[in-house]
Amino acid sequence: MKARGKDIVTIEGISSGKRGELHPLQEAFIKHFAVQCGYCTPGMIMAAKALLDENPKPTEEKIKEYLCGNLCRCTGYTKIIEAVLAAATKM
Amino acid sequence: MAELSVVGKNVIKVDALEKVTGRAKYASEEGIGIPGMLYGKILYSPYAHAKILKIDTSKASRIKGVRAVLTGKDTPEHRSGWMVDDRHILCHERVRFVGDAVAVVAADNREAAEESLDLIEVEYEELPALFDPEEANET
Repeated sequence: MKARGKDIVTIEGISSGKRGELHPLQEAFIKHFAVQCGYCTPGMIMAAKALLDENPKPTEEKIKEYLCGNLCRCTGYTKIIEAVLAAATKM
Repeated sequence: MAELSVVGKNVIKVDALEKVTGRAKYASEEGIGIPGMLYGKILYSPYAHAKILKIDTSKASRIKGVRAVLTGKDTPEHRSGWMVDDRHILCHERVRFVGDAVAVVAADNREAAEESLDLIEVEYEELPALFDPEEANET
């Protein structure tokens, strides 16, 4: 019930530009090879988006804090953190 | 040397776009698979070491949608493995670790496979197990 009256955005809803342009986080995840099997990717991107919406210039520590609830078992976290840092510079 | 088209270059993963947009489909999702595909479930040993005294698959086989329930008796004597060829396809007379495969079910859908798996009755006689590498060296 915590979501009552709130908007819920999922991964499908963030590249909603006119031509379906990608969100800077999506671009960065592709470019920085932060995607491998891809299973965790939507969760990682949405958690990172929540962070960047609140804090457009996060430190690496802050990124780790926001992503700590998401597990990745293939790329590891280095590439993902790099991608979030790179996206922050583009927003 | 002629310039290489891929080696030494940053290449974009072919399925990265599908994955960052949530369009990629995974094996566990609805609508994945081929028509007539069966769902398999494996029953694993809960013991590190035990003798299999009896397996009763009669109730498990009667579940609607279940096509096959197989145990070690249905598999040949063939053994394979990673370093040593010491593993049966399904356990024969003994289980040798928690998670050793004891039986397998194939069914028309996941629910039937799971229900059937729960109804397989296995009687074990627990045997001593080794949990310590130094102790294992002494044997």
